[in-house]
Amino acid sequence: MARVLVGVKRVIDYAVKIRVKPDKSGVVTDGVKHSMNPFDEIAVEEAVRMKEKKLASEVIAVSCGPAQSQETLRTALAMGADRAIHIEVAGAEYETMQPIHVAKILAKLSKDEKADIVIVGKQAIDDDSNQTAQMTAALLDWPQGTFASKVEKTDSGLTITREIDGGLETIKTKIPAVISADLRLNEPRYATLPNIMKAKKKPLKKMTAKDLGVDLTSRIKIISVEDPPVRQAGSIVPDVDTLIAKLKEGGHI
Amino acid sequence: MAFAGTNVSLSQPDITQKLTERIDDLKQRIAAWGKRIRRYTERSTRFNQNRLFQSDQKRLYESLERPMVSGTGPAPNQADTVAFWRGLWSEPVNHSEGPWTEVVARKMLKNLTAQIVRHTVASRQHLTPEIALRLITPSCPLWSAPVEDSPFKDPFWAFYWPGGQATARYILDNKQVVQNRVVLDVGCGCGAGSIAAAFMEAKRVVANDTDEVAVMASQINAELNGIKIETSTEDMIGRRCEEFEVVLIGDMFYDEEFAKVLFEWLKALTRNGKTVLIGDPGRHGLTHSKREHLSLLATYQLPKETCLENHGYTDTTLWRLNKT
Repeated sequence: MARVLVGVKRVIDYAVKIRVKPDKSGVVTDGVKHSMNPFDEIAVEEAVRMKEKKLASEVIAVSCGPAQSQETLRTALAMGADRAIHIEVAGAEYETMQPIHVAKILAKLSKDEKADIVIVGKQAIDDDSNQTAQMTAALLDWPQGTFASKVEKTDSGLTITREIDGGLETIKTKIPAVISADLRLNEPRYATLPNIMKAKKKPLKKMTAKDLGVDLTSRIKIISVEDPPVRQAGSIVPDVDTLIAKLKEGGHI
Repeated sequence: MAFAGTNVSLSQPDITQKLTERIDDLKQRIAAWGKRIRRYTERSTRFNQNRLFQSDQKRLYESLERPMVSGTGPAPNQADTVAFWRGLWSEPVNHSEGPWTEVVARKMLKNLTAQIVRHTVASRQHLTPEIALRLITPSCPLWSAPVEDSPFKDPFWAFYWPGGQATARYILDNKQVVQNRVVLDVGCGCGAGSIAAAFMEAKRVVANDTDEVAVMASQINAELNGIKIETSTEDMIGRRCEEFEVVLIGDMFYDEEFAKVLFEWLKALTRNGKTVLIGDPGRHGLTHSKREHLSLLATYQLPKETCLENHGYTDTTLWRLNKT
């Protein structure tokens, strides 16, 4: 049976209206509601389902970030992960942390913990990078099934259905492998009181990137973060002729 | 006509109202002055008494008025008095603090019982439908409430843990393990293991949990099933437990550190000839090396209601600790 490593990220809650900092260095995170990245919830759910189907023996949740990331890990534990590892990255180091660093951490942990499958969300809703799964697979030299909408266990490995531009693609991979979860892979469960209570007693190990020998030096620099441009107000035209006239005027037709 | 110090005159149209206001105002002033004078008298008396206390205590006590007039009743018997003071420390006396303490304690207990009953429902949706248990189920508001909203600090006893279900199920199916024997249910939680043992004619059953609310919940559940059990909140871990023959452990290997201490104690108990039964759904603390000391007696599939509150678990197992 396989051991599954799941990466989870604490991000600004999807329902929160994002505000850009006045100095354009990033977005306001202080005092803003955070929760688990929705795609990571799907990843955790898939791992727990694997365990419930007895395809996996153990589910380990990993999160890199400040101390509050432990809340996200507790959510993963309440969803059914067996244990958690918190890689503490705080302050300036966290602000410049990139997918490459997370991928290196996940790759190292997969080896240390003897994981057979790594599942992550296809992207985090804060930076939308969509790189961690791919980079982790490359670093480990494992096959990858990205944007998975269905994962099945077959004798030799996994059959993964991927969501691609033109439709669905089905691929077969051997184990070990890296999977990234797309939106339609499953519907994550809610963590209810009994599970939250029991999650408090599950083991949570704290480590640093240094313990894993991962250098967190930033490779890219954020120059400016801007609000998206405000949409111009439209106007209502009385009839089709006016519309055509206006479009011609604007040089659109 | 005008009143001194005011500009109120009888010829004004709203004279009654103005006068009432004026009277109220004066009344309040008088009351305020009265208060100040009383406070002054009180303070000066105290000041004078303090001074007297420092210079001449005897005169102070003489000057104090005694509201209680002494010496009107029959004079106390001197011999009795001496005997009373001599014997003050010689015998232990149970001081009765009055009936109110008992009333308060009973009320608190009743409140807690009512709280438990209010937030739970009697359920048979588990591995041992023979036993009804008051539990927090999906039909209870607390089930989906955030943890902060729970009136109980840690209502673990309101859930029938999968390990505990294995223990109770095994006992109900194998009467001989507890029949006519003295049973200790450590970490009894909702008390299901104890109730199962009592059902199967154990000679004596003690439901033990260091959490007082858990023990109370066990008692409520025992009553619900029309059965009598004893309870205790002592920390039994490390004790020799001479009076017991069978020790039940339902789902207590949830914490690795605690599991170590617990397991050493259980091993010592088996060496002293006690039967130790362990129910566990595959918790982290029941490590591979610990399982080498155990014999697997039964595996049960968890009902779907139990899976709902134990994400990731599908089975539960019952083990007996081997004598080493």
